Amino acid sequence: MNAITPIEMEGVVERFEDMGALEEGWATVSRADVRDEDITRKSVTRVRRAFVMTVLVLLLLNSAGLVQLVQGLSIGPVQDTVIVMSETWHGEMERHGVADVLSGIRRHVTEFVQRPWDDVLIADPDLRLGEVEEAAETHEKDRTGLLRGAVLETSGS
Amino acid sequence: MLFPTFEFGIFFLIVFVVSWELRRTADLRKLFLLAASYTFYGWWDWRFVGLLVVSSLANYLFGRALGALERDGLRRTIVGLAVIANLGVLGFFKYYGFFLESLDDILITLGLQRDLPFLQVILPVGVSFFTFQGISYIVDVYRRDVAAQRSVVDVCLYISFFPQLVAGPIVRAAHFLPQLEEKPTLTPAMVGLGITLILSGLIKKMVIANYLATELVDPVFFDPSVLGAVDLLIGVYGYAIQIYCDFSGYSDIAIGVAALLGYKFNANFNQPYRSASLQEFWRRWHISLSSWLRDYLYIPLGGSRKGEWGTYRNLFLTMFLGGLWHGAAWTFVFWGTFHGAMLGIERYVRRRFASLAPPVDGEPQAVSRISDAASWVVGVIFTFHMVCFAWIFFRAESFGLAFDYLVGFGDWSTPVQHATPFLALLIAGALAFHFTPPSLGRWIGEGMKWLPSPALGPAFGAAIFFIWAVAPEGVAPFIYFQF
Repeated sequence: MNAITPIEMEGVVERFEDMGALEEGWATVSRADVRDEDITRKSVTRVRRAFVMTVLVLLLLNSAGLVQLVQGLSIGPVQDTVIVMSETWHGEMERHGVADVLSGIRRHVTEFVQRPWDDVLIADPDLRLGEVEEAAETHEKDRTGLLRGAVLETSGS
Repeated sequence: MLFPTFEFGIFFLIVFVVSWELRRTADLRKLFLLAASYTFYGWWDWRFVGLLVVSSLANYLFGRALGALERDGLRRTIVGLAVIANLGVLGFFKYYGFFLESLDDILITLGLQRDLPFLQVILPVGVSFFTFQGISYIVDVYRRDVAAQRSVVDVCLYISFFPQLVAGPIVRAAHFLPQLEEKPTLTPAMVGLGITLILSGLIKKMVIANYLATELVDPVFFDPSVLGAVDLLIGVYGYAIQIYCDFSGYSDIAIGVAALLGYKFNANFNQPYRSASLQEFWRRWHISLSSWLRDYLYIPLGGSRKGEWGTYRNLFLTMFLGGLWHGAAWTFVFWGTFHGAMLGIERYVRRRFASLAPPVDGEPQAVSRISDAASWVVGVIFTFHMVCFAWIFFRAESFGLAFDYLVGFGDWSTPVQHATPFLALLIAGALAFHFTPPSLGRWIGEGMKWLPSPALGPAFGAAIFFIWAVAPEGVAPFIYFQF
C-alpha cells in the first residue's frame, strides 16, 4: 500500500548512483540535481507544446463546446468580442463539415445506447421479439411447425 | 470547479505553465499553488475558503506547539485538543442536523417533544477530506513521523492542495510534506502516467459512471417497488460499478494532475472487485481512507493486540465510524456496521478453518491447486455480492426504499424496464477490467513516456474529444463530493 512506486524508485536509484558526484567548478551542484533540472525542463517544454496542440485539436473538433463555454461569460466588450469570434469560428467549422464529426459520433452512440434486447438476442434485426411471440401463438393455433421461415411469412416481415 | 469541465481545463493549463515557470523559486511556487488551490475551492463558495484557512492555520499552530513541547503529558493534551477541534468542525457542519433530527425523533417517541435549535447548515465541499488531512498532520507530528513545519505555507498547501482537496485521495503528511521540501521534478515517466491517469479517470467518470447513473441507477433506486428482480439485480451491479468508476475516476484524475505538477500520490484503488474476501476488498477499495482508519483509529484502539474479542470490537468500531464518516444518515451507519460485522465473522471463520486444517508445507498438489482456484472464484463472487448487498443501503435514500429493493428480488415476472444491452455491456466490461493485469495503466504510461509532443498533444486532444462525444451530455457531480 505504501510501497515505493517505480517512479519513486527511479528517482531514488538515480540519486543514489550520483550521490557525491559534483559538477566541476566552484558551485557545489550535484550532477543528479543538474540532470533532474535538465529532465524537468525538457519534460515541461514537451508537455507545454503537447497541451497547445491538444487545445488546437479541441478547438477544431469541438467548436460547439467552445460556443457553449463562452456563452456563459458575463456581458462586456471583451466578452462580446470573444463570443462573436467563437461563433464565427464554429460557423466556419460547420461550413467545412468538421463540426459534424461530433454530431455524427453522438448519433451513432445514441443508437447504440438505445438498442433493445430484441436487436441483440435475435439475429435478424427485422424480427422483433413481440412479433415472434405473436407468430408463435398463431402457429400454435394453426398447429403448424414453428419454423423460422413460416414465422416470417405469417408476421409479414 | 469540477475536473471534467472546460473551466478546469483552462485553470489547469494556467497552473501548469505558471507553476513550472516558478520552479526555481520554491517559496513563490508554493504560494502560487496555494492561491490556485483556494481559487479552485472558492469556485463553489468563497465563504468556505475562510473555514479552510482557519482550519489549516489552527493545525499549523497545534503542530508548532507539539514541536516545541517535550513533556509527554502536555503533548498528549495538545494532540487531544487538536483532534477535538478538527472533529468539532466536521461534527458541526456534517452531523449537527442529523443528530438533532435523531434526538427529535427519540423525544417524540418518548412523548417528550421539545423545540430544538435546528439550523440550516450548508455542508462545505470536501470538509471530511481536509479535516482528516489536518488530523493526519497533527498525529504524525505527535508521533514524530514528521517534523512540525516552520512554514505556514507548507501546512496550508498540504491541507488545501487542489487535486486532492475535495474528494481525496487522503494524503498523509509524512508522505506529502517532504515532497514540498524537495525541488519539484517532472520526469517522462510522470508525464506518461499523468496523462494516462487523466484519460482513464475521464473515461471512468464521464462515460461509464455517468451513463450508469442516468440510464440505470437513478431510475432503479428512485422507486424499486415497481421493478422486477432483473432490473434490481442489474441496478445494484450498475451502482457497484458506478460508484467505483465515479470515485476511482476522480482519484485517477487527481493523481494524474498532481503528477504533472511534480507530486506523487499513492494509488487509491486497486481493482477492488477482484477481492476474494472483505478484508482484501478493504485493502483495495479507497485505500487512503482504509489505511487512514487503520493507522489513526484501529491501531490506537488496540488493533489486534487486545485479544480475539478486542480485535472484533476494534474492527466493528472502525467500520462503524467509517460508515458514519461517509454521511449523516442511518443507512450509512448500517453500511459501515454491516462491513464491520462481516469482517469480524470472516476473521472468525478463517481462524476456525485454519485451526481445523492447518496449512501443509511443501509444493501444493494438483488437487490442492484446483481447490485453491475454485475457492478463489467462489470467494470473489461471494465477496462481490456481499459488497453489493451493502451498496443497496449506501445508495438508498431511506431504509424503506432499501427494504423495497430487497423485497423486489422475489419478483422475477415483471418485464425488464431499464437494463439495456448497452448498460449490461458497460457493467460486464468494467467488471472484466478488474481481472486485467494490475500494471496495465503503468504499461500504457510507459508507452506514452517518450511520445514526442507532436504525437502526444493531438492524441491527448483526440482522446478527450472522443470521450466528450461519447459521454452523455452534462456533467454530474462526483458522488464523494457529498462526503
